[in-house]
Amino acid sequence: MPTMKAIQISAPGADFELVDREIPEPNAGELLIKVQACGVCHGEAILKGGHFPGLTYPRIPGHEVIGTISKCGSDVSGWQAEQRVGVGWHGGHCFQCSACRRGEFSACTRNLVTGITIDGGYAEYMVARSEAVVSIPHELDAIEGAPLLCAGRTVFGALKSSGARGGDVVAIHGIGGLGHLAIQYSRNLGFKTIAISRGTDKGSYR
Amino acid sequence: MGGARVILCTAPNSRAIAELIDGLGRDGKIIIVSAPQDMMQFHPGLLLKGNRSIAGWVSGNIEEAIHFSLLSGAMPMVETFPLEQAAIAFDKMMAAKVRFRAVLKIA
Repeated sequence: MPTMKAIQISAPGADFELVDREIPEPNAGELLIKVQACGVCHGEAILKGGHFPGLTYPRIPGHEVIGTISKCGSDVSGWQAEQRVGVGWHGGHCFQCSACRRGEFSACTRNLVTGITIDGGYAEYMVARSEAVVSIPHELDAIEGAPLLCAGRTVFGALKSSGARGGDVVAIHGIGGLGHLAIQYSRNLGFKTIAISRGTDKGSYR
Repeated sequence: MGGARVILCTAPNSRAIAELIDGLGRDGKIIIVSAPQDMMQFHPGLLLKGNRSIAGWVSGNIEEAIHFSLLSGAMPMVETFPLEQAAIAFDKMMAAKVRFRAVLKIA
């Protein structure tokens, strides 16, 4: 069987471990993705620390993934090999529970979480549920764009639905992976933007 | 300029977030997108003053965010690491030393 390089966590509290794994086969409704880039999110601490009920190990972390489809499993429609795709925190849903019936897939009672309850993108290949992937435009660079899959969509969604309107004062607390994007989004949405951070070492960020 | 309409809290620090409540203007809202491990303590009277609120937020539409980024030019600033250095990237991220998002370059 062909193998791939991957980083896994073998038990709660364990360190990242570089391993050779068999390249997984996509089952029905799944896609095999050749990973180009994966962002490193604070969410990985949940897997590393075992701070989630029912976690199983070993597990490959990573939920800010951009890559190309290498192979489609059976019963996949709308996707084909070589298409550029991304995978975020949401790893799949059941289409049957009451949340899914309302179209609130992220609230699915049987939802899968990428890199937490299923293997993620710290690997040369990963399998993703076809309902969980998003299309990545050609003009978006994989490395530069990967953080949009979690950090970007989180702060953009929060600001967009916040009720703030053009000209309102919006403050961003923290200038890290999420904050540096939030500052840019806030300005571009037309808010009077203020950044709040400890210390002065990030003071030159504009 | 009065208080803020929105304070978006991305740093997992409960004490710092509590101190920001009084920076909100009328009907202002604190939105927490990063969960600190420690408990948050504040005087509820701070919320009564000006009908302020504290909310949490997860999720958001990925394709909308990508579209807006390409439209506006708001893009991540990344530091890249090879897959083998994931542990180094993670530790640097946890220490808030990355400028500003660590990304593993895999292929």
